[in-house]
Amino acid sequence: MRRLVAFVGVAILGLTIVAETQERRAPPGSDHFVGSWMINPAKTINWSGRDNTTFEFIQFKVENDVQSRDVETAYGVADAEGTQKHNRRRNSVRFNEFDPVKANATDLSVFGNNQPPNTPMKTENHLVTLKVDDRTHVSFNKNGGGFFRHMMPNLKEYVYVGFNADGTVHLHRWSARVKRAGDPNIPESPSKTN
Amino acid sequence: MKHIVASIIALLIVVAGVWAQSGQADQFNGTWKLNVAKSTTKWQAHPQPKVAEPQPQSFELITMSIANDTLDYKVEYARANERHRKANYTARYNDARWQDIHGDPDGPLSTLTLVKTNDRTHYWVTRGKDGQFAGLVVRQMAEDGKSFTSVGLGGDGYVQYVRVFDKQ
Repeated sequence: MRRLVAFVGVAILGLTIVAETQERRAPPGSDHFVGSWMINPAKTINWSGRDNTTFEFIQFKVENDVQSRDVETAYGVADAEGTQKHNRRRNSVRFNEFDPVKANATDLSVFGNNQPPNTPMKTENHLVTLKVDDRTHVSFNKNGGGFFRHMMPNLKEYVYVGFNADGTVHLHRWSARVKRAGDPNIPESPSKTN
Repeated sequence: MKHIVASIIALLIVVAGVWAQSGQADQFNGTWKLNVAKSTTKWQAHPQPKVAEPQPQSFELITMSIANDTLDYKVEYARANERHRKANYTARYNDARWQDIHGDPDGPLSTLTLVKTNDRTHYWVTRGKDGQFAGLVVRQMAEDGKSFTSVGLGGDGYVQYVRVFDKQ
């Protein structure tokens, strides 16, 4: 009887571990970044001293190695009239493609960004976006700088790191996974930072 | 006849120009030695975020041979009084392919891909032995071409070291 109970216990433990692993593994052809992400302003630091990002809601899609992003942002605090300007844009690019025609980078200012609504933005400065692993992609600009997004092993939050060609880092912007805009964006428990 | 000779001469001039341009040496070509004093100064001046203490390095000698955008890289280095270690790799700029680092690389690096953003700047994008992101290394040439600075950036976005190399 004891052996049976022990066997059942071990089996349950094993199945739980397998289920947990399966949950964290991206299905073939998919990408861990797919979904919705809300900024965590408490962890976000603008090292350059400029206005911090205080609002950011991102929705990622990845299909056939093309990453599409819809993002709404706001910086600093509300103005004297109590209004905080929001900006929204949509962009996309094919991973691992240095040929600008094949990479087909697009960038549309939906509203804000000091542009009329639905203004296509220039993408000439984009060099490449590399998918490094399931939790990391890095983009480079022709002026020498760039950024990467690196997701924590718990797949619940990621850090955006902006860097310059001289190796200085100007931004750590943390985002947490949410099911929809307005959901709590602070993870329940602290996670590892790598 | 005159036309043919003129055409041949013009063609030779064009070919020579193209050849000269393609043969223009990449500024990173050559042998480079770690300058510990300059590295310390540059580390101290480097703005946050950075780790409390940089990864120590007392000796490093790099040889880079670059032809047709392919970098043949060899390094010999030592930390403090430890034994000298060697590593090498061959990789092509901007081909998005992952190349093995052979020997005994500095840190937990296993593979890399090279990104050249302009003539003075290139990056290593690295993976560790587990195939996961292991950080970036950015190398920026000084305007006089006599030295370059190498900055290691961890996956957490903190600068790990700043090293200056002088041309030998």
